[in-house]
Amino acid sequence: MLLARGCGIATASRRAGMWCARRLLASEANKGTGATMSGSSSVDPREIEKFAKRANEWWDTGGTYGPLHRLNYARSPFIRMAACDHYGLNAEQRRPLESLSVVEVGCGGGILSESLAAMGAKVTAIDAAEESIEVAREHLKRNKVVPDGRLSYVATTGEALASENRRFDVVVSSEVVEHVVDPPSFCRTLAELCKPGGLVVMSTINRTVWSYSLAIVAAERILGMAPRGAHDWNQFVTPDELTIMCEDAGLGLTAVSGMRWSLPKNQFELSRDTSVNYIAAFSKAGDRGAGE
Amino acid sequence: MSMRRALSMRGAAMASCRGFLGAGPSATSSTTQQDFDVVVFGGGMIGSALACLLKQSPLTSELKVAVVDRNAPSSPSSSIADLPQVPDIRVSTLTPSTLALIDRVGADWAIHPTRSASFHDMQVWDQTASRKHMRFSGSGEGPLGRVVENEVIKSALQRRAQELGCEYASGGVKEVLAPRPRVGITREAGDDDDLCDRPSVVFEDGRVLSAPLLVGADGSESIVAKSAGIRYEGRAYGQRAVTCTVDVSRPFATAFQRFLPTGPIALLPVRGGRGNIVWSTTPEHARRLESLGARDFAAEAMEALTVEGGPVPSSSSSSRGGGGWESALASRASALLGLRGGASPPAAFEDPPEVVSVAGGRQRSFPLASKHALTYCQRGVVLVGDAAHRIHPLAGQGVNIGFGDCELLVTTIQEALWSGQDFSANLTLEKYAAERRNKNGAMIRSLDAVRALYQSESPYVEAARSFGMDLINGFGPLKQVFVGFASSNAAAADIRSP
Ligand SMILES: Cc1cc2nc3c(=O)[nH]c(=O)nc-3n(C[C@H](O)[C@H](O)[C@H](O)COP(=O)(O)OP(=O)(O)OC[C@H]3O[C@@H](n4cnc5c(N)ncnc54)[C@H](O)[C@@H]3O)c2cc1C
Repeated sequence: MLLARGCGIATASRRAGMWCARRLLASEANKGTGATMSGSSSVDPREIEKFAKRANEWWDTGGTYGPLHRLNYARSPFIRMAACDHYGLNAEQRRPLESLSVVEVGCGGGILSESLAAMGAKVTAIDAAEESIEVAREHLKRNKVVPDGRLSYVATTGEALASENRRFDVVVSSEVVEHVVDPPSFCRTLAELCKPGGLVVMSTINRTVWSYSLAIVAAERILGMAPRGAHDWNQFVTPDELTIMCEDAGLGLTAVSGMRWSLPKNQFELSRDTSVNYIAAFSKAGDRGAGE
Repeated sequence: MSMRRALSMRGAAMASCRGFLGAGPSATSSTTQQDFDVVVFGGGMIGSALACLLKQSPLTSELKVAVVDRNAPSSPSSSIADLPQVPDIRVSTLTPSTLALIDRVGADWAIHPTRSASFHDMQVWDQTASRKHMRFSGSGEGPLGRVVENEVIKSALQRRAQELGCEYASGGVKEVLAPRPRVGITREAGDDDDLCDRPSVVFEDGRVLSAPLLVGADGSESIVAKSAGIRYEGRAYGQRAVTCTVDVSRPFATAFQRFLPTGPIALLPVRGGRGNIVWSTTPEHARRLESLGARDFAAEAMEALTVEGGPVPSSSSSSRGGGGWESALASRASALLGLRGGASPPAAFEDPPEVVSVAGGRQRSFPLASKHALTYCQRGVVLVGDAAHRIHPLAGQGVNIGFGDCELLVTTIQEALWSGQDFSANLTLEKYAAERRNKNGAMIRSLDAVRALYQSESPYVEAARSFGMDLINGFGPLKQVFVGFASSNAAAADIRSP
């Protein structure tokens, strides 16, 4: 129900912003991407370094990445519902995603990866920062929610994994697209990692006045919730831009929802309001066929 | 530092940190260690209710749950033995929301009309001769509440929990091993929230039960709270409650509560047309009351419940010769308690039935105290029921707020499972802890305010006390104290005498 509602909102505003978004993307692409690590990677080495420095903080729920832990209360249920909807699974079991292979691109310390595996999925989680992967592996040894053998970490990039012809039922990339050098190419990589008829889920921060005040000014500068300089507002992607980039990569929008901070619960929750954080599901055209 | 030591002390019991996912007795361990998802420590009313709720609710029903108690539970296969003719002296007043919960988990056996007594009204009045009182009535079909013996509630819930697949482990417990709170601001590398902090319970016979989440439901002397380093705030009231079952002159369906300068006395209906008395008073008086014979005690209780001076016309502040200062004091006290005054349709005063004699066993007394845990959770450990809060019995809310704890805890765990989160992590448990501690804290403060008003030795409060029912007449938080914050189907009517 929630998904359907969100979807309606998205399609309504989609057309209006279409032209604007295309123009903006074109100008971004022209800026050039001299900082790319390798010709085929959308990874920005400066961003990787930024995260690598703070790798030991990933699992401190009261620290830098606390908000990401609390974001799980919105993004994990969205992915659970979107995947169950897409594959006709019963979401009301403890581990409904047991039949699905999932790749998480840009997993950081594994905050979301463990949640996905806890919901039953067979998860491959990748990140370009070795330090983060090390932390994620260490934490996995001590975690209490992931069934044995359901989660493995690899220090690599999406492009590299795609070139190995690895394909998954669900491709997840959360809070990553705003950090990459070439978002359109990043979306194409995610599409490539997805099996025909599969599902791609992305979450990110919208580029609005609200997100500027909340994510940059409040979160980074005033509350110190996110490390200063963690985000570059100009790199934020609007839902329309994301939709267009994904369409160009062969992915059709199926659902979108906002994720809003709830003060009394001290966590994020799904909402209609996509003006700051949002999450969207896209399906890849094609015949699903039999599993991997 | 101390963290480290605490961890190493946990020794063999903690040898297996992971592996609960493999569920079932772990064959690898030399001791007989069993791994569960949740271990509920204390299989009383609250612990057993929690176990039922966990096994009955979506998502949590898939968790492997064990309940630990020093006493063996009622067996589900045992034929339902006839209850003793005279009800036990330990009874609880259950609010509609508690009744709904018991019904929902399938333990409605306990609240069947033959095993419980309903009351449709609650009448509260003070020691003055003025018959100022207030009366609460259930609106609609349902009663305001039911009075059930603790043993009956407990055994129904224990039997149901076992039917639902909870494992009961009973016997002497040697120790409870819980992660200690972190001390100071020092952090050692790797010493993060999810460090291998798997609490466990060690029985005297060597059995070990362990789970990522240990629930302390072991009552007001909780050893779970103690081993987790959870502290309490609170006070001893310096009072005792004398309680017993009594024969009365007629069946009744009102919960009576009268405030005396020494403390409140309550007369509740129990099954079989009898009554139950809970009389809070000074320790000396309690000792004397305990020593009385069945008829003498009944006579004293009757006296305590009887309106002094018989029917008296309505008293106003002027008839009491009160000047402006008295009403000023009363309004100050009102403001203090956050009450609004207000006229409502009067309801007639009901004389309590005559107390004839103590029935069944002798009257016994319990010490009264108020105790509130400073936090309800601590790294893999969470408290529910009396382990988290012990309150004055005057409003009969004790066990009801415990049932409320269980409901929110289960919802919180469900939400964590739904989001693929660790349900034993502080990130999850803190939400339960903060919300419940707030709610229960408000109840405790209201109770303390009522009690202070009636038991202060100060002459000023003494004067305000004669306006007691005017104060209580406000539909403020005090209404909630008496009817229970959860019983939305209760309508209150406040009254002045005719
Ligand atoms: C005089 C009096 C009158 C009351 N009247 C009312 C009333 O009218 N209405 C109301 O709602 N409440 C009333 N209460 C409060 C009510 O009795 C409690 O709130 C209720 O019993 C709490 O239930 P619990 O399951 O949390 O704890 P408990 O009933 O104390 O259960 C704890 C369980 O844990 C087990 N346990 C404890 N320690 C250990 C250990 N070390 N090892 C193994 N097992 C252990 C015990 O065997 C027991 O089964 C009254 C209390 C008193 C004193």
